[in-house]
Amino acid sequence: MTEDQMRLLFVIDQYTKKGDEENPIWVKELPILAIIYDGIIKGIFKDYDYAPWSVPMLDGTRQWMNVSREGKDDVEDLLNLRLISILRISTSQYGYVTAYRPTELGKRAIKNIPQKIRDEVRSIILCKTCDTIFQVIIKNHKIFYHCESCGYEQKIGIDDIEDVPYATRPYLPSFDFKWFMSGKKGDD
Amino acid sequence: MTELLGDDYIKDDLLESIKLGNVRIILSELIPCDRNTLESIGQKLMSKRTLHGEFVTMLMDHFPESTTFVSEPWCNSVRVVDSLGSDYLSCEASMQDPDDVVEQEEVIGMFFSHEGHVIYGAQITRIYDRVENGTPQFSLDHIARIVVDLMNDSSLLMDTLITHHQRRIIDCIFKGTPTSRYKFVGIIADIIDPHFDDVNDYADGEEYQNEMEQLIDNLQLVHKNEEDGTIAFIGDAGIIIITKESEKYELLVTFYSLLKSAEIFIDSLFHRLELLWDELFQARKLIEKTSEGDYSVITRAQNILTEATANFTILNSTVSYLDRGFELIYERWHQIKDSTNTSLRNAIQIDHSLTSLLKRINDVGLVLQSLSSEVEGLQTLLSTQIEQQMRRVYNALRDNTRSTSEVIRASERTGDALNVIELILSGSIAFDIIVAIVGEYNTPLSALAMNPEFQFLFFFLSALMWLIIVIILKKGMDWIKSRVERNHLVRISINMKCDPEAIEEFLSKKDVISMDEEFLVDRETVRVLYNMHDNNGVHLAAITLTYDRKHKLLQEVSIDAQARDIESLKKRVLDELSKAIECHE
Repeated sequence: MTEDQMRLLFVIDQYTKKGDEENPIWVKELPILAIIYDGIIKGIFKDYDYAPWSVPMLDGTRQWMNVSREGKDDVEDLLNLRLISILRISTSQYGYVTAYRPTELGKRAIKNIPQKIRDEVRSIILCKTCDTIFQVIIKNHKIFYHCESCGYEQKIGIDDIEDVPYATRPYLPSFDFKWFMSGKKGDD
Repeated sequence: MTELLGDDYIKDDLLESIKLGNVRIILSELIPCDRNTLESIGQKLMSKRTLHGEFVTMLMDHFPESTTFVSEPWCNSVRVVDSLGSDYLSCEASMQDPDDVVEQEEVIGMFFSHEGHVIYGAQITRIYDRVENGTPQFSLDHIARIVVDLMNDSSLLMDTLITHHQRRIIDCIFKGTPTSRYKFVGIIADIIDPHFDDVNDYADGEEYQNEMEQLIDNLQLVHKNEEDGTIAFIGDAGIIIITKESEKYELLVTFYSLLKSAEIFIDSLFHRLELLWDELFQARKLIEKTSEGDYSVITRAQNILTEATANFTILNSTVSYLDRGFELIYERWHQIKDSTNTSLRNAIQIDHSLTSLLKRINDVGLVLQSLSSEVEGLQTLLSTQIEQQMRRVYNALRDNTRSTSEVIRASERTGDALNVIELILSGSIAFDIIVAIVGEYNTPLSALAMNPEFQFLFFFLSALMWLIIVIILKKGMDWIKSRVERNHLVRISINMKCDPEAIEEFLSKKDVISMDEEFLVDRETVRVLYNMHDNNGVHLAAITLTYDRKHKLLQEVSIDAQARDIESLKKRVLDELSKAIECHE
């Protein structure tokens, strides 16, 4: 496991550890993506970057969000290593929610995660006032950290898509559109 | 691997693993269209002018009668560069977003066809201070951000060009959020860095693949044409072609993008149809509530059903556009496919995609058919509930009117009595006036009356006279009343068990005027209004019989009649009923 994979596994553990075999708790994908984004811009996930991606929202619309492909890939890797389990749940809006929780193997691996990595992860997901874990909630297509103890809320800027300075010139494929439309090459 | 330090625009250090040179972006989307619609858009853009080249802004003039027009410092503009009747329009568009804090020169090419295919094309000339110079300059991280910017801005630009009907379709399917309209991405570049001879090295499952997937989603296939060295990366949401001979692949990439964008549209349409089922289910639940007696939700059910019906109509019209557009596309593809590159064509299985798409469009028709039946069924159900509600209102109104009539008639009777009193009083006043004019007059009997011996006798005689007059007047009034036939409304509550079939058998022999059946969850109330006649066929009364078929209960009989003797009529009605229908407690 890489250090970033350990961080990711620890994030998943922090949100699911209160569950047991009778009532297992799963952490959903979108909150994980939001935490990964927050971890990237705070320098916690060292080898990840992000790019805008169109993410399906719960109400059936789509929203541009800064998604880390490296983070998604590491989730896949944790699945392949059998350190986490995956669950797909349907929603009332005919969409799907994907959720994860550590396996027994994953729980054993978590015990070996160094304290430094644990502290780094906790520094972004713990409410500094109450020392409890933030819930990640979605309100009007915006994602927030929310502390259930003190009510503190902090927006996660995963939907703040950054612009880069650029210039383009018009381009259209060079084939003859008359031909494309009529279906006969050279037919004017 | 190149590291780019964090800058003022991006909060993170980007890992620039892959760079491309001479990058051309093709964004493709499907907007339902037809020849007349394209003609209308063409007129808006002055496409018929001999000399193309005028820029048309998309601003709206709210005071067209005024002399001048004040523009905004930044606005989008479109210039037609080519058009062919109602077949297609080809334009150049300059997009300026006043909210952009970053220097951007977005000039793109646009192509609309009457089949609804829209292509936006742009060649990147500069990112930051890196200018296109034929070398791999532009990282996929930056290209991904530019693609998103172009997707959003092109959606906003297109919203100002399309017709109201097209906007209605788009808003219905994408729930009015332009950001939900994502487009299929085609990238054609001359050169890639790093360049691997074994293209499988790009699909490493790690760094390079992650970079690719930022732009084209899950990487499905990496293909190399050994003849000319062209590499194709095919993903769920895009395709990247690295080739020195772009002309050879432009047609194929464009066609593939059209198909994929149509798939995106069908996905969104199908999802919207699923949501429509949800809306109809909600309407059904509310209508069922009304049949349980909760009439407060009728308006809500009506609103939801009206909205859902409007959305259904819009979505239904979309499929006609798709059918028409893709029949033409299918023919066209078979005419041009031989001129496309066989190796890549087979790799991306374009024939299969097209056939599959046509089948999907066909299958959407099945869903729409089911939805149509559901919409019709719910409308009928709701109309029935509204009709029953109207009947209840009508019955209440009818009862109120009858009560009011009774009050009016009672007032009229009181008025008659007052008229009699008025006559008596006026007579008294007339005598008083005469006495005032001629003075008290005496008769021989006056002296007798003054005699103390007869005073009591006269007093008793006066009282007797008063009593006689009162009796005469009362008798007179009663005689007048007895000569008048009065309106009666008598309601007799029965609430006894009986056989509904016996009631219906009895009613089958009657002159039934109306029958009102109310089917509710807990009862089936039937109200029958019939005319009652005597043996000579003279109308006696209108009888309303109310019974509950489900609980076999005769509830009430109402008699509405104009009769001198309502009591005998009431007895006659009840006798008739008891003879025909056997009731018990």
